[in-house]
Order: sequence, then structure tokens, then C-alpha cells
Amino acid sequence: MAETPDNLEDRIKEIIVERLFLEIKPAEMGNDESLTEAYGIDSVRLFDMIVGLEEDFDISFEDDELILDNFDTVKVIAEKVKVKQT
Amino acid sequence: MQQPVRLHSGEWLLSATVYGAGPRSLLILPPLAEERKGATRPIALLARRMTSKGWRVILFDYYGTGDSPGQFEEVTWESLRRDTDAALQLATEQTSSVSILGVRSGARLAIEASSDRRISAICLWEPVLSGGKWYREVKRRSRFRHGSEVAGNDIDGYLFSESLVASLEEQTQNPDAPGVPTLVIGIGSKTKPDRKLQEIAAVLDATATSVTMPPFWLETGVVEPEELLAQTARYFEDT
Repeated sequence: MAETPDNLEDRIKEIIVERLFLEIKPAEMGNDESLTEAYGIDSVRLFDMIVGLEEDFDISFEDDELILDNFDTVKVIAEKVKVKQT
Repeated sequence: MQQPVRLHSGEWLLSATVYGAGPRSLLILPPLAEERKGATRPIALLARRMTSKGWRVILFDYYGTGDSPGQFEEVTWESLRRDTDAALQLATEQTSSVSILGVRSGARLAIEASSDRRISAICLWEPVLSGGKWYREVKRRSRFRHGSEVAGNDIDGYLFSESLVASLEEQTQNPDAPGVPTLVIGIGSKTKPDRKLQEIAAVLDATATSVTMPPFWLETGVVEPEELLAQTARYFEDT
């Protein structure tokens, strides 16, 4: 069953909180919040989150997609994942 | 007690440290490249813990890494195997059996060494079985980190030799299961072994467990590895 955008974003928040060991509830995250600025996540840990997305959604990002701007907010991550799932 | 020693490996003298003394030896095979830095603290803490339990613990730097001679660009899979064999020899000097901890890419070396009859037990922390997959991942991570294409095989200042890359890429087949008791410990956000870890455990005919903690090999800050140390020490004590 295809996930609704809301569910997808919620699931992404869960993955982010889980993989990055953030001490907040997923629902507290804003869709437009910068992960690096709001939570001080460095690029090494952010990449670990990307690997988590690939595993959980069974998708794969191309090397040229691996830029910070593509993964800095829940909103842009959700857009990327949606494209991969279609 | 902590005694620095020089470990003969081929024509080289590697940097090694023997912690403690006792009838049981533990050899620790660290990860490679950048992951070695983050692993320093949990490895040192485990060495201290096992020493307090009466174990003799051997830590060393592979040729071309840490305080050992050579440059990383000279490291080959063969040199890593040779260094592991040399360390195993040191580990067994005062005992007939030795346990091994393989951390990340050190896991594959531990498994490949496991045909040695002197090895009695193996524990693997978040093991890397496919060197090629691991290499591609660290390369992608580096690219993401720096926002640009990785130049050749130079990854975060670690220049991987063509030989090493070729050997890692050849690790497409799973290794044979060690013929000794083996525990694989998954490290990350999961509270129990996920599918990937279960598959690794099945390949190695091993027991799997998980510790929920940040992946220390990626961390620049302090990670508290208490549960990881407790599970590892308990396993070696009981096996």
C-alpha cells in the first residue's frame, strides 16, 4: 500500500530520531527545520541517516544526489524518497 | 599493567601494547581508516575491563596505520593478514588459546584467522563481511561530507592502494563460518538484531545480539559503550 505524504514524512521523522539518537519525539520535528542547524547534526551522522533511509525504504540514492541540500529537512527528504518510490 | 612491545610482522616492527597478564588472551583487531579513530575509546575501555578480569589483552596497529611504520597507501589485504597472524602469535605466547574481538573491518580478518586451532572464541562488533560494499560506503560518505567527488582512492586522507581496493572488491562471497563459538553484536538504533545482522549471524553460524548506541566508529564525540563492553566481557568470560 502506498504511503500518504503525511505518513511518509512521519516515518522519515521516526528514522531521523532513531538513527541519529535525537532526544526529541518525532512529532516535535518541523518539516522545514534544518537538521544541521536545529539539531547540530554533522555530515557524517547525516550520511548514516541516509543509509537508514535506503535500508528502510529499499531505495538507493545516486552519488550525485548525495549533497547536503537534498537531506537537510524532512520536507526535501520526503520529496526525494517519493521520487525514488515511483 | 601496560607494556609497549614491538611486533615482528614480515620485515617490519609493528607498534603493539600488551595489557595485563593472565592465562587467557584477547586479541583485538581494529577497524580500518577513519573508523579506527572512533573505535579507540571503546577498544581501550574493553582492554581495561578484560585486564581487570585477569585477561591478557593485545592491541596493535596494522602496518601503515597508527604508530606502526609505513603509510596507509602501502596497506594491502595480504599485509593485514600477515599482521594479524603476527599478532595472533604474540597473543598465544603464554597461552594455548586466544579469543578475538573483530571490530568492523577487523571482523573479516578475525574470521579469516579463525581456522587457527588456538582460537577459542570470536566476538564481532558490527561486522563488515563485504569489503567492497564497505569501501563504496566510506567513499560515498566522504563524498557527502566534502560535497565533492572523491579524488581516486583518497578517502578522508587515507589513500587506499589499488591492491587493497581490489582485495576488498573481491570479497563478494561470504566467508566460511568460523569453527568456534562466535557472537555478532549489532550496534546502532535497533533494540534487537535486524534482518541484516540475522543474515550475517546465519552465515557465520553465530549468535546475534544488539546494543542500542550511536555507531562509535562514526563519532567524533564521546560515546558511552557500557552495555557493549558488558555484553562483550560476559561473552568472553562465559565462552
